[in-house]
Amino acid sequence: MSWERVQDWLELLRATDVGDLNTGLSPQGNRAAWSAALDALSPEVLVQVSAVPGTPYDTAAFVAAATVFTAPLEWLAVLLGRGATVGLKPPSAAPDAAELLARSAARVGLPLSVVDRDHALQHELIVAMGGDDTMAALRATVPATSRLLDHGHRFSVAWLTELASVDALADDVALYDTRGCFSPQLVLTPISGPVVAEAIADALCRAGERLPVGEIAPSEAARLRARGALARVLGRELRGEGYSVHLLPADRLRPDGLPRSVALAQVADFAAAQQVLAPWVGTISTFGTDDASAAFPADRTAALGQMQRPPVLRVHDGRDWLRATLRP
Amino acid sequence: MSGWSGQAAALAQRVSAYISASTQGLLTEPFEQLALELHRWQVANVAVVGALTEGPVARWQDLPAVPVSLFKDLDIGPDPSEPVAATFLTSGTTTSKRGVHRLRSTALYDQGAVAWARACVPNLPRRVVALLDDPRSTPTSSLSHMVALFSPASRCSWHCVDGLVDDASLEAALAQSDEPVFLPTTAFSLAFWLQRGARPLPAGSVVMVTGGFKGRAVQWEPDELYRRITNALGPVLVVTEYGMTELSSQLWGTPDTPFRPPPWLRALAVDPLTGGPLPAGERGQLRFVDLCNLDSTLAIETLDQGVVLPDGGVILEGRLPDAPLRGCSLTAEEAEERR
Repeated sequence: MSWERVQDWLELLRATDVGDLNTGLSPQGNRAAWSAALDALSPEVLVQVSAVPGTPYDTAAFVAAATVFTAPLEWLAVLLGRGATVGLKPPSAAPDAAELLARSAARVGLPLSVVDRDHALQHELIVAMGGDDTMAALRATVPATSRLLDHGHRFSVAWLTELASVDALADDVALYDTRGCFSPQLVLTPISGPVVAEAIADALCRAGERLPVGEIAPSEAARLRARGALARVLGRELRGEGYSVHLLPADRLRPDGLPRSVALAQVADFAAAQQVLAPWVGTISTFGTDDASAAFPADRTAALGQMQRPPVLRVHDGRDWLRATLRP
Repeated sequence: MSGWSGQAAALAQRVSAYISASTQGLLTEPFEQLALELHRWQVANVAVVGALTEGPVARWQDLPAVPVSLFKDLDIGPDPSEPVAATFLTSGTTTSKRGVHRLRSTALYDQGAVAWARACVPNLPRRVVALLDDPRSTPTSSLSHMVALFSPASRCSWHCVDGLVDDASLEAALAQSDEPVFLPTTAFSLAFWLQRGARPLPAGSVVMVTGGFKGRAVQWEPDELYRRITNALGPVLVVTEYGMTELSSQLWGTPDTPFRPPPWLRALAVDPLTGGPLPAGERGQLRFVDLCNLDSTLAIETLDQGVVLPDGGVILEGRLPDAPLRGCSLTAEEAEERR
């Protein structure tokens, strides 16, 4: 019964225009992100999810981060499909999406409501996403009777070996404006750095025509220009309307989620790329690549163009989330 | 002026003369003329400034500004192998990378710091009781360096160790003193002291507060901080100071008035998105052009937000929204957390 209602709910959501939602993305960005998230929740996938054996929780809460407004969708679909009563704690700065989800859920009889932090802590299962400070605060306050699945800071990287892949990479960068943990912040390539930088910049320009960039906070703008200055001194900066590519020496790469901005470095080969990324193993969410032979110890490996489109049946942050959301 | 030679020494002499004259209301030459000549020297002699300069600059407002974060990433100014008179480091943890500002000579720094402090706080007490690290043990602190300029060493006592307030020595120093004191402190160290029970200061004392709370454990609005100061320390004069490791000059104000830059430093608010200058009175990202920054870069771009008034005064509004936390007060706070 619940799974059928979830299907109805998802249909309602698919028919909803989210262009005006206050998420920080452009209207086109909102719609593209919404579609990408809902596409993953096909009826076939829900059938597979419903077949995962286990005892569901009766109550669950999802504490959402401000960065990716679609992140709760798949978790809510699964928890509601299993029959849980779910509370959704929205980010205080962007409650619109949560209210939309709850309103539409009510229309099909699904028990989803918007809750505050204190109320969220009263649920049996608490799934939380956000910054490391938020996660630490939650860990300190979650009651012993609740189970917390926390997901702190992660970022993603890309290994690009063919110029033909730049549009796929640009799609990964443009969707969500480099906000989420699946967004490639660092790109490594064995091809000529200046050539790849130009190609990525052109691709980001094309992507921007489809998906205009959203809001850029003052501090982000300042950090963008600061990294641009570093690139002008040590490498090269290419920038256009709402995007930038910073070509830097590999030892100067630092993960920093800057809107529509890629930090790029040329390395000799994949072994060198692995060496560059070694300090961040354990915090890398998705390794995107056009090289099927490249294997990297990230939580997930994806083809370029698919980094922002994770399948529901996956390991999330190193955890089988479909089983982790069932009673032990 | 030792430390500089050739054209740099000649430029330093001109800046020194500018400082001397301007504090008496005189002008040796236009600010812009001197700024542009210093900039041309830096283009030729400071690789980072050269790399960030795309063509001739005609106005001081258009000088390419070096973002403060680049002081962490790059050597700006003298090569690390070159002997220098001072190496100042930004606040930070032992694990985080700290910004570095190397000065071949502190002559301009020292001259400007003393001249402007005396101009802004004419009755600065000579007895200094500092809630700061001793500059002899922490020579990388530009703040301690500055404060040490204000009085002979025998008249200064220092009451922080690795950013931690040393209650016992502070109490002893204040117990022995019935003359007015100058008490310079970061906002954080002051807050810790006030929370632990600060004693009233002798009449005529001056408290200098610098830095903010950076959104950490103690969160006092300025009004609350100043109310607590008055309640705990008595009728002291409270002054505010805005300085940065990456700058060689400071701005002074009071809790009720904007920061005043010295005549050899100008502030500018820019649009964070474009870096373009904003009209006076508009809120923006703060940028400074400091003639005393001969060895590194005249123009610095901060991560602070504020308003530059038509008379050049600066209303500081804190960090740009969502900017990473960094600043003078962090050292004190992190040290407290380790207690």
